[in-house]
Amino acid sequence: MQSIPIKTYAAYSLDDAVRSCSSSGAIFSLLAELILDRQGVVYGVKMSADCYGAEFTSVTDRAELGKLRGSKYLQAKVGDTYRKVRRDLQVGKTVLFTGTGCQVNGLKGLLGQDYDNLICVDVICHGVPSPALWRKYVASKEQQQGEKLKRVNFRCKDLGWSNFGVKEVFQGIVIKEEYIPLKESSYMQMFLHNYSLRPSCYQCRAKKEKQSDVTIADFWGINDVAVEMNDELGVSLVLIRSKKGEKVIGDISKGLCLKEVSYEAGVKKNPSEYYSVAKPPQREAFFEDMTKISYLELSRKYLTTKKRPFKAVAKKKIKAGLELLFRE
Amino acid sequence: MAEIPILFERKEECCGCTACYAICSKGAISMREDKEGFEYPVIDKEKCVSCYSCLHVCPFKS
Repeated sequence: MQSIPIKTYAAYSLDDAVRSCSSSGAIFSLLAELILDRQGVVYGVKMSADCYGAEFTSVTDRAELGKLRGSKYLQAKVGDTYRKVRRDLQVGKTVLFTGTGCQVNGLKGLLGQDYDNLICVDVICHGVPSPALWRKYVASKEQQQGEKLKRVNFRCKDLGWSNFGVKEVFQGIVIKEEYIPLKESSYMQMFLHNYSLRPSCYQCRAKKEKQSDVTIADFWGINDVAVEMNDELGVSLVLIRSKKGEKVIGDISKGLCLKEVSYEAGVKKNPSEYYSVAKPPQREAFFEDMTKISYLELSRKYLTTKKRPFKAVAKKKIKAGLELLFRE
Repeated sequence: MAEIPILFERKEECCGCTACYAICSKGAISMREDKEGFEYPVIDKEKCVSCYSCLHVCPFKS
């Protein structure tokens, strides 16, 4: 059984600066700021200090929201987060919990009751890649660069939202930035080929039972329904799943460009809303090899990337995006 | 004596959400990475009192 949302929107924040450092349309940031303005607590995922893992954390200060912004492409450590959320709820704090659908469902399972002061937001999830693969990748990259990874942006929009890449910042004597187009990012390609996902993701239960108040995602089909909204800075798909969700999106609507669309149009190019990806036949062998061979060997064995004139294509798309901007 | 709960039989039946770990009042469940790098709950049989709270909160069991 699939749960159809109450309402579906295309939306983005009117704050271009925040939007440019968000994965899609900066809906998380607006919701988080609203909760902080109400003296609430925002739970989400940050990269660990050494960049070797992703983990849940809570934020009560606007200045710290940046670390929760931007999707992280590996399964995050939950640790004692659920208990902390329960404690915050019990003392009456307003809590915004953000995570994958299964993390929202897990939290609700622990709580065992509804709380008026809890808002849950999940993301449309393709599946979670292995934290061990990420560590192996980072170790390999650091060795190659001779420097430590300091920051990673899995959804860098320097060449446009729909043409995103990965930006890695290495810190040595000098700071080195590397932009990797999506097609050339071996780590992201292992994810997109569905090799590196958790076994349960290939038959995701959370897609059948959505317990979040709002689901956010990329609005990849935006050009088919509201092309005028696509300025290449990012458009979010917003699925309202409860009255509470409807209320909270209403509360941030002043800061939004918002258009209601049909659910079908909203999810047309984002099938992960309702489908789990298929498990590739090589998946088990991939993980067997992950523990045995080097990252570079793993990459060579499972990815046969045909180099395409990617940068030239990217420039053309950016130009088209800019022309759209100037036409408005 | 009551049996130790079985949280999952196949890895496909655990998403690693940690609800079982968080509900356990005896601290009998820890989350441990398997060789693929994903966390799964492991029950300490010495600490478990077979209250089955962990099964009740599991999104896969409801």
